[in-house]
Amino acid sequence: MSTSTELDAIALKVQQAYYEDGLADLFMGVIFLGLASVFTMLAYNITFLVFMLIMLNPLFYDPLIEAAKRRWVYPRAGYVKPKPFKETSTRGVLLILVLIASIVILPPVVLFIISGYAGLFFWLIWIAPVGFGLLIAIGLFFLAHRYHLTRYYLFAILLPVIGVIVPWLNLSVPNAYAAFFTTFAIQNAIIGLLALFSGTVLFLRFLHRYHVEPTDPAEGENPHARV
Amino acid sequence: MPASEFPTDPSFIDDDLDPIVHSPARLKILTVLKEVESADFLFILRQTGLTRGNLSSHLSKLETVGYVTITKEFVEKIPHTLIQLTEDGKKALQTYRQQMIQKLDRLK
Repeated sequence: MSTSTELDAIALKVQQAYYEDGLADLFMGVIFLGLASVFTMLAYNITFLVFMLIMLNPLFYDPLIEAAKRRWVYPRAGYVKPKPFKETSTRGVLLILVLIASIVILPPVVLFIISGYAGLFFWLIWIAPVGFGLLIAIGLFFLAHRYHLTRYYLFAILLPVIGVIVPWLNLSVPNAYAAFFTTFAIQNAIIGLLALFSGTVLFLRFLHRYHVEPTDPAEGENPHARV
Repeated sequence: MPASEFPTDPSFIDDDLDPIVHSPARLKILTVLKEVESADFLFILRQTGLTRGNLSSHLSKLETVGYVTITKEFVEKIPHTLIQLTEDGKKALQTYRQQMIQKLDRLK
């Protein structure tokens, strides 16, 4: 391995450090499973308030993950303050905008073309779940590409694919709305379970690989060692 | 990083290379710090694979020349040392990489 390649590998390892402990996956899994349960409730007309409460999940995400990192990660792998995110790649931003625009524009165009039998029912059953899957997939693709996290590519591909497969299965549901929410619920449940699984594996591997470092004031103290 | 991976031919390593950055261990430390806002001793230790004593001495050298700042702060009433790359450190690392790329291009 050449010197510059090794320095690049170190730089990539540092960038991936945030995801190495699996906590991000575990929290992602919890959020997706939360959404899955919400969509299941909505499919059977359970109050919308629950949906709003669980959608607040991301607000608690940062403090919760920070608390978990203080408890398990910093004593083992050290504290790091990541660089604030700055997307300088105009090409990347343009690509994302084009993707979002396609997702917003594509369904109405498709509906227009097939308007002979299209309607709200068709949109709810076939288009919305794929659109939802693609929207989430953009974020996952971005993370996968930026940090070379292969598992996020899998999640990103699975989301829209599940959105296509579930309507084909023609599950027996009371109406189009129930079908729509059921597909969303299945999409979120599968990705949530996969994220929980990968998060658990990564977290256990992290705990096995790194042990709490003892405090050594002469060479740099570990403020989290007492935890 | 094995020392053997660094060119040792005297004609290749001339005076214009910054000797502080040219050390493999310090180059690793600077590369780690370039990717983050700041980090503590243990994080750099884990990422570079250096020993505690080695890392401590290299950090002191980097602080002496002004390439990193080492600040003590309190996290929940416990002293905590944070290390950050300075603007001079960023420039030195960038210059070093450019010089190395030019030298490697000349070898082609």
